[in-house]
Amino acid sequence: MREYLRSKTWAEKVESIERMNVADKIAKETMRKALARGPART
Amino acid sequence: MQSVLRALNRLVSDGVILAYAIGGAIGAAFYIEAAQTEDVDAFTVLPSSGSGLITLTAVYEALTAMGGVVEREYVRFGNWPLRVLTDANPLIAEAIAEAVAVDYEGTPTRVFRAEHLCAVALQTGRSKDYLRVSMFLEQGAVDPQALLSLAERFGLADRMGKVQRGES
Repeated sequence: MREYLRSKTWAEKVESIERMNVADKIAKETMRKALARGPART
Repeated sequence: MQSVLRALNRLVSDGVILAYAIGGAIGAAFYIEAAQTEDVDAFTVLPSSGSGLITLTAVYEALTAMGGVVEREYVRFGNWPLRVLTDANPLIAEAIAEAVAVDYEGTPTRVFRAEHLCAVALQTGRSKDYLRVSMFLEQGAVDPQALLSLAERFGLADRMGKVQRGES
């Protein structure tokens, strides 16, 4: 795993950070919408 | 990221700043595994002003003229908020002066040397900064003796010791 990470270029690592940020943003937005809807009615 | 680096290079060629170098987590990703961060830290040397006051107004104006959008203390280009910092102390001034010229997918830029990234992290001193220094050491991405020597020179030897003893 470490050798794999070392073999990645700087740009590849920055792109992976960018993807993490986008995923994080989507997760936060989904959570915000879920909280705004309130508890599910059963 | 390309647009951030091109904008920084343009600041230099237009004389708005004298030099810059990338530090922080994005700079660290040049040497070690990527760690999540939401911004790009660019450390800059500004031309001296007549008054002696340091102001980033000209930098912000130039960046917005290039299409950047000001958001709080950042200027956003695409997905990346750029944080413009200054050579606020001797360690950062040295880190900028000795930064390494590198290439980001065809765009020239400069990044702090590994020792300086770690020393600036020690100086900043948050938990995540100590963790970054540990990662450099664990991954063999920094020469421990060179870092210790730098840490001693800038009064950071105690903090370096904490990282080495795992107390941070």
